[in-house]
Amino acid sequence: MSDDGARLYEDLLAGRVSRAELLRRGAAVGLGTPALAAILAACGGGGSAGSGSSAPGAVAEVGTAVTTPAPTGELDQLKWGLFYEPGPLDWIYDYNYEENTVVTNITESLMRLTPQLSIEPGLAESYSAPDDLTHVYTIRQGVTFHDGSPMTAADVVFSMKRHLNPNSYWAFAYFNVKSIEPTGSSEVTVRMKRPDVIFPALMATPAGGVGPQAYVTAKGKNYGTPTAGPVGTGPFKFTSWNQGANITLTRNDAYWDTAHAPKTKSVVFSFIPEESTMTTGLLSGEIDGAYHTPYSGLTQLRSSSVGTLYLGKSMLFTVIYISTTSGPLANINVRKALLKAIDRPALAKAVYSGAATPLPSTMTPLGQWSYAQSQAEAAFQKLPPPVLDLEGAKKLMQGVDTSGTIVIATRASFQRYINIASIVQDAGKKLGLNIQIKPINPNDYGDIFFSDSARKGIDMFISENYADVPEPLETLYVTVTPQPANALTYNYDDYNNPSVTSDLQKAVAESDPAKRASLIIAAQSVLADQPATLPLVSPAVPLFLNKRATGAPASFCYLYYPWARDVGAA
Amino acid sequence: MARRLGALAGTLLATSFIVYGAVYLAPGSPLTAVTGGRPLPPATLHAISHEYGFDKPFIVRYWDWLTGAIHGDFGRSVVFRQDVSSLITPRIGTTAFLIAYAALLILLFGVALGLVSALHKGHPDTAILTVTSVGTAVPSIVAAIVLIWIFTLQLGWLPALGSGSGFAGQLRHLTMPAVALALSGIAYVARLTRAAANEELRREHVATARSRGIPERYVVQRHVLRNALVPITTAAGLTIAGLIAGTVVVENAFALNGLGSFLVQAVGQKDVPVVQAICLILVAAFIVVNTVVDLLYAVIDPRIGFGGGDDR
Repeated sequence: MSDDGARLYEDLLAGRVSRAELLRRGAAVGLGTPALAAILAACGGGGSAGSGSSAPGAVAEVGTAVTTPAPTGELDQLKWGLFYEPGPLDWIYDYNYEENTVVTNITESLMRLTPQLSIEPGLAESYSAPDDLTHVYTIRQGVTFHDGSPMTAADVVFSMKRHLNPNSYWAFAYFNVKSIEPTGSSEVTVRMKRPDVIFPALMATPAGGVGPQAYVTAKGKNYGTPTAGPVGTGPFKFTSWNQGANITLTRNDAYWDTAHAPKTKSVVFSFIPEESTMTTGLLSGEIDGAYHTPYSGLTQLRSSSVGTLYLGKSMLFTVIYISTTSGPLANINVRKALLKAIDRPALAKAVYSGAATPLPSTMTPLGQWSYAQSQAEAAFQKLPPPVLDLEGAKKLMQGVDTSGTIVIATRASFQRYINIASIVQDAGKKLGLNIQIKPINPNDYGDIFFSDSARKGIDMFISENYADVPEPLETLYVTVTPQPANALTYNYDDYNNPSVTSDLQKAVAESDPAKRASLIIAAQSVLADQPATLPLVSPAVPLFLNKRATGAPASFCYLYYPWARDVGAA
Repeated sequence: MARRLGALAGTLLATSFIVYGAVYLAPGSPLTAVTGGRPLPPATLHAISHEYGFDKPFIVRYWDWLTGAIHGDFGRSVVFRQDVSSLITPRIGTTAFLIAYAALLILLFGVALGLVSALHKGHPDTAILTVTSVGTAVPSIVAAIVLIWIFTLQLGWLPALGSGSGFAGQLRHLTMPAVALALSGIAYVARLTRAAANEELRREHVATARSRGIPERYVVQRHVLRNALVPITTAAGLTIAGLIAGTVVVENAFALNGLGSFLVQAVGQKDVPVVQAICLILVAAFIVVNTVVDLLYAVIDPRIGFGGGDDR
């Protein structure tokens, strides 16, 4: 966004210009239609919504919904929208939104994520940790796979061991695992090389997924593809995969969890990559619901009588990762000042159509805290609030060398990132920082996360990331502490603050949740003062449900909870 | 004919090399698509690279692909972990139906509107000229949005997503996409038909035929249409061959499981084996359509031989 554009955008948020004037002036300063549309949508109908006030039609308490009203009857068919066609539905390769949205209804895990975003036993009837290096899972009896075979401890061991092959996208979860052994007809014991509290939490994801050894082995590399569909223990059975169009699941009448017997006979997942097509499908009722309601359609869907838009509790966070050890960003004060100069409430409105909550200086939104919630909430209150503080920012910048340029990478043609980059650039300008936006081909953007060479010449980049499990350490630990060369990491600026590193290393080994929370909170307050990243907002889960269907959980649990079993007729 | 087939094979070979090279040279890696950009530890990246041969040099990878392709094995999709042929087969039907439907609309409405325009000077001609001027300028994506707004959201007559099943279902689902795809083609062919027919109408033999009292219907059929068919066939052939590229946009807009939308997706994901296979199919289809047009020339006008100058 140009300087004029940024000023215009501010004027709009402050209610100083009308919509008509915005369009006229916007065109004059060269703002594209999508940018203007995003701004207008964010400001609601009136165009005068200042930060903090409630725009017309805004949903109260963004990011708090966990459930939707219970169904009153059975549904013949639920038509669900996915924003891309999933890859193979083999749990070891299911590490992205839509794969998990589907497979979670077929393949269940030892533990389970709940709609409230806590962890409870799943296919393991119980779990215990006799010591910090031992995790014991008691396997539920009387559970059968969709092919009729009973689930045994051998299936569990086989399924877990699949992740020991680095080919598994979940192999990282087993980084500290020493051995996996059956220790009884219904017991599996995992021994660790070093204490790791994240491991048991990850057993609620496909890292703890269980499939039938005989079937999976027989199908080999085709397991989970349309020719050899997945077989699990879940409430729905794989039925068909019409390549490029849809996947159909049908109800598992022999589902073991009889208290949660599915209320829908079949679920058809359609692949709809185009945002406007998804919005149309939801508006016309051709699609009953989606967990990825397009932001571009939120305003329209919110006011629609076709169904209800829920903004659910999430573990998502939008963050700017810093990937340089030199230049202005190497200076901690510059990072702090830049964060203060970014109007995060305005960003939540402008970029996410209000479907996000501003984050104080932390990467762990409250949705990630399944334990010590009141402690975490109290700690949140003490963090620097996510409000614009230009004076404070300028004070921090006194005497700082602002020479040199800072390059922020965005995904070209991805409107949210482009808008965020403009907001950051504008904030930098006010502090005398020269921030340049570098659009990266959408296909190559992900490479920034993988390869050092792709990050060359890039000082920071935007990411919408999430924690898989409600354990704040999961993403925090690998982002702000030094990691071994062969481990998964988001620490792109070699961040290493001795007190943070020491606290979090202790936390990863601390099995007592209250003590662990204290350690994380201590590290978090240091991080707020010595930022490793720039946390911006926590997007809510934008769930849309047609009025004929209800019961789907509204929270981020849809990735690792068999959510379709709860859906029925309204 | 043998020479034609040889040329087809040569074109396909060259295309495969160029496409493979282009996708190889473009930055980025298919691993990005696989995890939605979330990082994986180096060991996993390494294992996947090795599994799919990303660690081999370009020429070795191309050779592996080529020798496989000759034996009917077009490789395995990185993103879907499936054989490419099983990914592509179900999608060919939708795209073929869509193109055939749109082609039919173009031939039918394009030629009919053009003839009406040429034969009925005055209001009909002006109206058709105006409508077709707009029509040629409307991109299919705009047509798609307008059609969906009218027929799905306002009237609720036609579905906006999916390809449907069974012939009737497909017809219903693909009507809006086919119209969106065909619109500018109809307009173009109509204008060209009008021009060609007008040209013929001005000819001496038409005037002669009319002066001799031959019925107008017969004059139009025998003298005007017959002679105008060569330019019309050329225009329609080119337009229909061009539809192959146009399906990309329309398939995305209507969430159809066709080759076009799959190609866009695969290019985005750098899923090389899929990109290769679809490009080859599209190039082959393009060549086939052009060959059919050449064959038609020989049927329409026996003076034009098939297969180029020396064969005459």
